[in-house]
Amino acid sequence: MIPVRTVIVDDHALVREGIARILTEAGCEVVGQATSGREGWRLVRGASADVAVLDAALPELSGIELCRRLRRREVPVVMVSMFDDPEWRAEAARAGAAAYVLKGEPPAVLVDAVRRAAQGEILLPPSPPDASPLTAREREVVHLVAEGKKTSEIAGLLSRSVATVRAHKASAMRKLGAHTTSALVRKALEQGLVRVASYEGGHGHP
Amino acid sequence: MIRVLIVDDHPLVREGLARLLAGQGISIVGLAADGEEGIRLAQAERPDVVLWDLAMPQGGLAGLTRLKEAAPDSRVLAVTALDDPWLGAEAARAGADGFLSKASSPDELRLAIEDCRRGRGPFPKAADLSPREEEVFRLLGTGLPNRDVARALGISVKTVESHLEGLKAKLRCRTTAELRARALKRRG
Repeated sequence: MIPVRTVIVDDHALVREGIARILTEAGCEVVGQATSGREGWRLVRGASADVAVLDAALPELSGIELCRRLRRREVPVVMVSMFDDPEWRAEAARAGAAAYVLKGEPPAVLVDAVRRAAQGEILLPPSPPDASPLTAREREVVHLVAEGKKTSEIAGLLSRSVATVRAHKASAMRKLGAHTTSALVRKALEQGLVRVASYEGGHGHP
Repeated sequence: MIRVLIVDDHPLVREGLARLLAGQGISIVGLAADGEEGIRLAQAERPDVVLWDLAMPQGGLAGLTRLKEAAPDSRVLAVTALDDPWLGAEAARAGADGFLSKASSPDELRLAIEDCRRGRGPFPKAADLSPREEEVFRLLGTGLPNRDVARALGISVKTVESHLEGLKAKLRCRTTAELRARALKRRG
């Protein structure tokens, strides 16, 4: 059997390297690793991978946004996440992910998902339409704002003009009733519209 | 052989760490999914070093202190995915023998385990904040604008702004937005 060629994108090296070992041991070939959504995007464009394994909460382009881009290049995506949350699952499905595997599941579940995704199987059920008050693009902008990125940096990361980014941000602020950038970030985090791993991690287990 | 116990609530992470570490002078004596199981296994196996995730059920800093009481001969390396400038110091106070971010490399982890066994594991250099800077940072973390931070502390907006500059330098944030983001993310 030809080994499945995978790339792994996760900002926590110890987690990523561990996943790489698990996949290698199961007969997959790990052809690349990256630490951020942006780096992952560059990597996958360079490497010819059968499957991309993405952490859902990545810095610089969320896992969801990276997934959306990879789907346009027809690379199957297995999303790996700490969050056992139906909305995250739904969003992963909308972004075109083949599977959504929890870090709380045993390694065999991930291996199985990677193998089946490589065969073109979709393991995620189709998701209902987006009920979020923000559009996917607005969420992505707010996600990057929450990471402390400047408008010009966000424009670069998303390949959009500064004016477009400003418009998305203004629209998100209007929808959430936020008058300052910090209020926007706080409200978006509180309402779970964007996720930042460290914030969530702290909330999950006090 | 350094005998290591891994305590982490995520199987994918736990099993991955076990595979990264096994061999080359390290043997994994057990895997535990929460603090309680971790303490039980530490008492039974008496490992040289316990890898202790700081964000798991019955874990955290309080669990770490209980672990040190229950298994005083084992050294504890606290590991975390959280980005918190004070967590290292808090882990040290709770009794950890070392502290490591999950963003570290496998080599750094091995080294940290070896150093821990000798009783001197790594700790991040604590961000050396003044009490006032700490207050400003904590208030930033609640999402308050500068004006309200100033009011809450009874100081001028200008003074808040100068504290922000000090914080940016000490916490190595390039922009105020990045500093705010860091404050907001600090364990919610």
